[in-house]
Amino acid sequence: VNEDTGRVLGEAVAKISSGLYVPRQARRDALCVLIVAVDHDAEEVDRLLEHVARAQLEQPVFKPIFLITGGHVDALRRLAFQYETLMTESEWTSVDAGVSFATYRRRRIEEMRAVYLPQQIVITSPGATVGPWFPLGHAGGRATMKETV
Amino acid sequence: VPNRNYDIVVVTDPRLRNDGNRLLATEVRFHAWRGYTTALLPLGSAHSSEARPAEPGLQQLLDEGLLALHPPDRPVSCGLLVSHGISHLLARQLVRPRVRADHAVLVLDRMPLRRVGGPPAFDPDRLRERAEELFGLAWEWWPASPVVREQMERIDPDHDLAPHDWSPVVDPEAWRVVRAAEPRDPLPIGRHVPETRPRWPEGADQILSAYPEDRRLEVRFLGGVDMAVEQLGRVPSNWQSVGPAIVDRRSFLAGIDVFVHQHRADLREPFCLEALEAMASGAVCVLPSYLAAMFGEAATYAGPEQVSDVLHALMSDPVRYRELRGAGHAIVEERFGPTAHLARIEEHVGSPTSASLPGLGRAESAAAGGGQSTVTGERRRARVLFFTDNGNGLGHVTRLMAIARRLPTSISPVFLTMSEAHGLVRDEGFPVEYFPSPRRLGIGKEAWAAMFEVRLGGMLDRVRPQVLVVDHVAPASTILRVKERFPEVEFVWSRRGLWRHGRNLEALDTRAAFDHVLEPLDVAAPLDVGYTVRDTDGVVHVPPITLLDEHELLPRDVARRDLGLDLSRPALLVQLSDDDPERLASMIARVHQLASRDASIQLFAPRHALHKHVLRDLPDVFMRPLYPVSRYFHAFDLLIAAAGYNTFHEAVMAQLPGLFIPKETDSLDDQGRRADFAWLAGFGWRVDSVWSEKFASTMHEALDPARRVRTQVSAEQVYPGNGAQAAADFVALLAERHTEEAA
Repeated sequence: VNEDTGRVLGEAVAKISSGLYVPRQARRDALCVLIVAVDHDAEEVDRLLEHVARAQLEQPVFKPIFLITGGHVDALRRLAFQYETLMTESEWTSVDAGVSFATYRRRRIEEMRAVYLPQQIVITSPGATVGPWFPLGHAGGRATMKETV
Repeated sequence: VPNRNYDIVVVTDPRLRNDGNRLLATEVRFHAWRGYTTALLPLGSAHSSEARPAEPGLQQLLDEGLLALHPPDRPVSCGLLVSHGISHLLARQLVRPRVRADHAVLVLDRMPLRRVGGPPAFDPDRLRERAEELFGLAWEWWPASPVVREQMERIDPDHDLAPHDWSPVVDPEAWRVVRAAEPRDPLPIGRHVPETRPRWPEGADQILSAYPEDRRLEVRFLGGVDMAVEQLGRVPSNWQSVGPAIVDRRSFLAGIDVFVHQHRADLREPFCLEALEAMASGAVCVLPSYLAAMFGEAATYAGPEQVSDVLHALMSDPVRYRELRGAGHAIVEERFGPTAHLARIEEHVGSPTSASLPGLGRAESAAAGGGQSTVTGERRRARVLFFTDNGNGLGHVTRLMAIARRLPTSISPVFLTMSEAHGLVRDEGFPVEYFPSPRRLGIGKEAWAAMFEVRLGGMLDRVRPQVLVVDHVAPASTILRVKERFPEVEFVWSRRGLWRHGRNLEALDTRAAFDHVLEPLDVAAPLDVGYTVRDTDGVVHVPPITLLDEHELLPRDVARRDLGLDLSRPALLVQLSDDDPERLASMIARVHQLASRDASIQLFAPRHALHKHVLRDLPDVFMRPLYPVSRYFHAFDLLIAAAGYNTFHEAVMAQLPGLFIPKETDSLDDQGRRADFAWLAGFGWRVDSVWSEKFASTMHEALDPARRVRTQVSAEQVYPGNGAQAAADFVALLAERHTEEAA
């Protein structure tokens, strides 16, 4: 009532930029896509990032937020993608929080959804391709999109 | 071992996000804990036409392997078949289940009347007929509560009901919250109900009676408040609301002392799971009088008109408040906990077919936003969550790692950091998650603060630490709300001093969120004119914190060999930083140009963890990634660096003379005064730029061997030792104290 956290979050997410190819003024309308790539090693993450960067170049209509495992962030920084990290199973086990890794992973993804309010969530495996996304038109001033692959 | 596929088969529509499925999830956890095997037989119900996934608690059990998913058209045998609810029994099914069960229990968890004095909500004869026809079994009917039983006996007096109720269950350990002995003033009261059934008292007057606009009360709602506001036509001044997507139920309950559940007079709820969870959390419950049949003396009962008097009476009578809390805990343990549920399971099924899994079933409870328990019979390590500022930098995260690595092994450290050098934290052996800074996201601090509230809350909810240590000079204001959600966690603000004069006063407002302030001292403290100097009450001071202790630094020859430096020639360490790699490269090149006037001087410039691939190679300069650089400080004769807290104190510890260049940025850290202090104390020099005329002459003066001896003596005199261990001891004391209290 006093503070609509959801609204504030929505405003925040609308302002976020991710990637080099969505024009600054198009950020607000860009589709926010959460891409979960937590089973990828560093090389596989890099390949995925190049693929997504190319997709964004061809269709500058979405801004990806990545959830990855590990600290290999050079390509994420170079391509200006937003991301967060997930602990590995052994790291999580060492925390000793009494919650299994599967649950931790699920709750972490749910939290990413709560923070970034993505319109689409893609949980991808190493080697799999994601997207492309194409605009289907505009509804209420916001692009609506469809994953075709 | 009986010849059956599972001990228990539960039948439900798993898509429904209702109390029945939430209860079922808790029951299945208890089964797994005791060693009973359980399968889910899914049926569709008429209550939801949506195509949607399973209720999160049930899905989690399926993920964990604690619940098997059995196709409804395949034969299955079990000791006990349990149906929670009736809607799936009344709906038309595409397949006919083929279940062979020793017992079949139908849990009546729905009120038999639509409203008090109203028509029946279902036809008992049709339900009986339909359930028996669908499964080919005779069912025992177990009311979920005395409230259901009373109405059931009224609409169908001839039907034999089981002699006892199939009471709802909660895991007491999952919900328990450490609370103060007395109610707070103003008293935080609250209500949470699903958005889909807000069920407010009738009319604006009744709503305001039940949830009074009173300065001594803070009224909080978790969802479902829109309808009340619509009726009132305004938002009462002491009302606050938050959505269930933002705050989970346990966290919400932790923030209130009294749970007030009031609704329409003609409504009856079968058992009020919300009140049961509140009671398990230690909140005192104010409920409608008919629920006395369910909760007895463990709650206090009132209609909307009496709520205000009851609340004021509780505020003035802490003994009664504590009695009600104690009675609440007792009834949850005795009547609604795992013991009572497992007793009725054993009555039907006998002994479990698999070994007991101590703790496993219970450790994951209340997945869909509830609590999580400690593992029964085991004592887990205490946990400390370290949250650090930093985007491109390493200062905050390094300081907290200095504390974390000195914690006893009985404590598990975990990091949430805004530093993109989170890989270093992992390399040091600490579990870590990364969350981007506002600058990295390209958004303002206010917008970021809303994201931070959800993010930090989620992390605290997963990790359930005893202590949160925040190293940040200006924590987001939303940390106050996070603290309200987690009153049982000790919040510690690790706050170094030497703020610039007149800056950051507003940050002190967030101090209310912290139970303790831990201030690592600055050797330049005599020159400190920032606001922290005036805010010392209750602050715990420790000597300056550095990652390494002096004995961990490599001897000069070893360090030089490691770095590939000549053992006999003077060596300069250039540890400058700049967001722009080209500008940084030109600064290093400038130092090299000046140093090369003496051909014997060798230059080492460590590559920053985040610049290692973007900073170009410079001719005749030794460059490589190095962390922590201070381990190699004895290799050098002179340090040229910014006057940041960590490098500065590492240099003092290593007695390495420094040319300190205050960063020209508008940061809060008063590096100019720190550099001035180095000169005043005699262990370093202040120069404002590598481009200044003074720089070259100062550098050569500093390399004079006679000077070196004097700077070493000065550094030794001002250095009070590493405060990291004292800080770690303080944090460990808090964590272990909490763990013992909880035990």
